[in-house]
Amino acid sequence: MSDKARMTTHKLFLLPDYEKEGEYLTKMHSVGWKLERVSGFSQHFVKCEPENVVYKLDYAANNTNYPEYIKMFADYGREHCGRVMGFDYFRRNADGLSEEEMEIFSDPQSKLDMMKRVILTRMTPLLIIFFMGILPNMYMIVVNSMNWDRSTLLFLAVLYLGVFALYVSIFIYCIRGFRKLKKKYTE
Amino acid sequence: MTDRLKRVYIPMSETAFYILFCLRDEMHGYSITQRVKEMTDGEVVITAGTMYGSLSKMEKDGLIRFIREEDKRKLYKITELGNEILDTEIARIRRLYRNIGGK
Repeated sequence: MSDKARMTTHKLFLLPDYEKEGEYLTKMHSVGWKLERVSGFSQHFVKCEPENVVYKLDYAANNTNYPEYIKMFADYGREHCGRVMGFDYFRRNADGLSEEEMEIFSDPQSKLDMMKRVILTRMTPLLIIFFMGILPNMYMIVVNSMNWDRSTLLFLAVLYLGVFALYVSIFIYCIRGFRKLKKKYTE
Repeated sequence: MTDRLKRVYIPMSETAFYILFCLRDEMHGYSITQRVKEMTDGEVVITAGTMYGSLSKMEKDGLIRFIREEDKRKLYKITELGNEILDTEIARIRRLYRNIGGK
């Protein structure tokens, strides 16, 4: 019994996936799984009655007054239910709400503004780490390749190429995702 | 400085206009949404994320200023600069209205 009262899923939502993540949590609540907390790429649920509750993610960045921020959303009937990497999770009962009222942004400009905040304060640091960290290391491997035995060299090359490929594919995924969002918000 | 802001804020979005217009009185985010709903018969609804983002942006641009905190709610009021920009926008809307046959 007790092991069925809780469930954890591990879904990978990357930077441009914040709307998809909200939709996923909304769907889970509608089939009786209420979000208890989020951590990294894990979503922890508790069993509940299926309810029409809508989940939305906000990214405010540089919150100077966090309690005030949470309070404002509470005024609008939104319960804070998680925070990961600067993304804040809010939910509210969606019974009788119009599509418009379910959104946390009521004009396209503020949707774009949020996307820009994510790009500027989340995506940009990742790019900097990439250029400052991984690329110089790869260069060092090439420069020092004479001094190392073959197995070390092979290991390092595979390791860095792997990390490199992973990073590049994440970037491509994010750039595509953001472009799709931008198109959606400006149409 | 004002010229740059005028380029950014004029013409103004309905959201920005009503926020500035309401902040001629000291108010907090949710009370602005409530008042705008009343003023527009529920047709203009400013939601939480948009309100929070707009207030932060306007405060940073010096159009409004933080007055005091009451029960964890921040109360804001329009600044002289904000008034100047709002008046410019009101003049623009008046001109529009005149030219489409209003008085």
